[in-house]
This record gives sequence, structure tokens and C-alpha cells, in this order.
Amino acid sequence: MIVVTGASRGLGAAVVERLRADGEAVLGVSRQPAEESAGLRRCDVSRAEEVAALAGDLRREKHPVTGLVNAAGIASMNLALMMPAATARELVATNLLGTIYSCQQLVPLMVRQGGGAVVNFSTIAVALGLRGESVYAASKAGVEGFTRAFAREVSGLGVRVNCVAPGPVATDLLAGVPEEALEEVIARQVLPRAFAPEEVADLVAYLLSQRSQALSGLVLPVGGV
Amino acid sequence: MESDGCGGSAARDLAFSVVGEVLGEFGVEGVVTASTPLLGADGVVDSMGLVQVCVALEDAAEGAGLRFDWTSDAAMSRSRGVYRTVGSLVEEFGRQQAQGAGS
Repeated sequence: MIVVTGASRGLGAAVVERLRADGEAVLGVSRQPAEESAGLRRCDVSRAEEVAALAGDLRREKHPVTGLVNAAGIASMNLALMMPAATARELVATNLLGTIYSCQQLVPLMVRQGGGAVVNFSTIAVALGLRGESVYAASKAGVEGFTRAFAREVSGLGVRVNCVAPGPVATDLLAGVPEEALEEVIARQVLPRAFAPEEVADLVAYLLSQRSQALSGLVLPVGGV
Repeated sequence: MESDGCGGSAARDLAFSVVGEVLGEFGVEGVVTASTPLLGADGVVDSMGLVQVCVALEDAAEGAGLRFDWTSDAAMSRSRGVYRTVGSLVEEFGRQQAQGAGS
């Protein structure tokens, strides 16, 4: 089973769709699912106790977890000087701590299966240092640092950890981002265009698969920087 | 490999048994005692092996209707870490159960 956080919408939903199309058993996790089902459960990854409860349920139900996609994330485009402290805290709690908590709780389930693969999500904003995304980028820079170090910590346990850092992708996260700002980002990419969620999902599926078994500890910027 | 037991509560006995079993699977030879070092220069397992020990303890705890939280700020400390010896880990397991960590 592959667990995908942030599964209700955006890149998380695209990843779920792609993996299911590939025949994978997928458990989607969302803070606000439209409705809970066998394939979708509620969990706020920014709350360690909720992630621990999810992991406990999966352990007791003996689900063979072999993959984790940390797609849960929030964005707030704002100058750091203008950002309320509560918003900054929420960004770090969901984007960075949510990734850490999910790895802490779910990777041990992979260890029980003899290994697995983790895919985290960053953003091209980290590499580009975009104005108006300092706090968001900081939270994702943390994810990149965590990915590199955590990959080393668990490599001996048969677990690979990589990170995808997309440029602009047509999802809810882009709502409210000025068109000229998007164009500025796209112009700085090696491949100067926006990407479809399905393209990012392709990369995630690859990183989860045995085809990428030689890759771990990488941060892959979609679009190139 | 033989185990000489740690004494104490049933929880500690369970933990000692589980740790001894996992160390045996890792090929640790000889008698495992409370003073057997886990981590460090003389440790019988590396950090990866330690995770396996903790996973086994978590499973054993759950099987007994208990819970074991293996996170610790001092996990890597050789002087005060709960993972420095078999005894310190077993003691921590027992302490958590006495406090009803996850009951």
C-alpha cells in the first residue's frame, strides 16, 4: 500500500489517480476529506498525534505500507514582513513538520515490509529565491534538507527517500498568484513552461517504483533550475 | 545466545526477551545482559539495527495491549541515552508501561 497525504486535491489527488491507474493500492490522507472511505482517511499531518493514530491504525490493520508520498502542503504568497505569525507557523507545521511526522510514523511500517520509498514535495521557489515566497520557501527548504539527511538515516533499512520540487503546476495552490509572477518564475526555468499535475505524478510514480531503485537523497526540480 | 533476564516487571521481562531475540537475529553472540552496550563504539548494533529493535518492541508492546514510544531527545547520547545499553532500554520500556504511556 502507498500512503499519499494531501490526497483530496492538487498534486496529491493527481498522484493518487496515477498510482491507482497503475494498479497500486493507495490510501489517501486528507485534512478535510469530502467523505472518509476505505481509500481516503482524515488526518491533519501537522498534528503529530493524528499521524501517530493513523500509523497505529495501519499497523493494527496490518496494511503492508511500501510507499509514502508527502503531498500535503499549504502556500501563502506574502512578504515575510507582512505575514502574520500564525500563518508562518501553519506553513511550517504543515509543510515541514507534517512531512517529518509522516516519515517518523509511516517509515517504520515500511521497515516491517523490508523497505520502501518516500517521495517528499518541495518547490522550485527554494532554488529560485522568489520574492513573496520566503516563508513558504523556508518551509520547503526544510523538507529538502530533511530529505537528504533522512535518506542517509534509513538507507540501511531498505528505504529510499527523494524529493520533487515542481515549478508552477495548475493546482489550487496557484490560486491568487499574479499572472506576471508566474511568468517570471517560468522564464527562469530550464524548461520554460507550466506543468500539468499528471507530469509531476509521473515522476512520483517513477520514484516510488523499482525502476528508480538506484536513487535516494535527491531533490528533483521539475522544469529545471 | 542466552539471556540472563533483567528482573522487574512483566513489561521489563517482555522487553528483555524481545531485545535478546532481535539481537540474536543480528548474530550477536554470547550472553546478552542488562549491561550489554547497544549504541556506541562497543555497541552490538548500529542505528539501523536499533530501529529494528524498536520496531520489534513496538510490535511486542502492541501485542500485549501496551504502547512503546521510542522517540527520545537523548537517543544518541552515550551517557544518558535510553539506548546506551540493553538495560537502559528495557528500563525505559518498563517505565513507560508503569506510567501507562499508551494504555
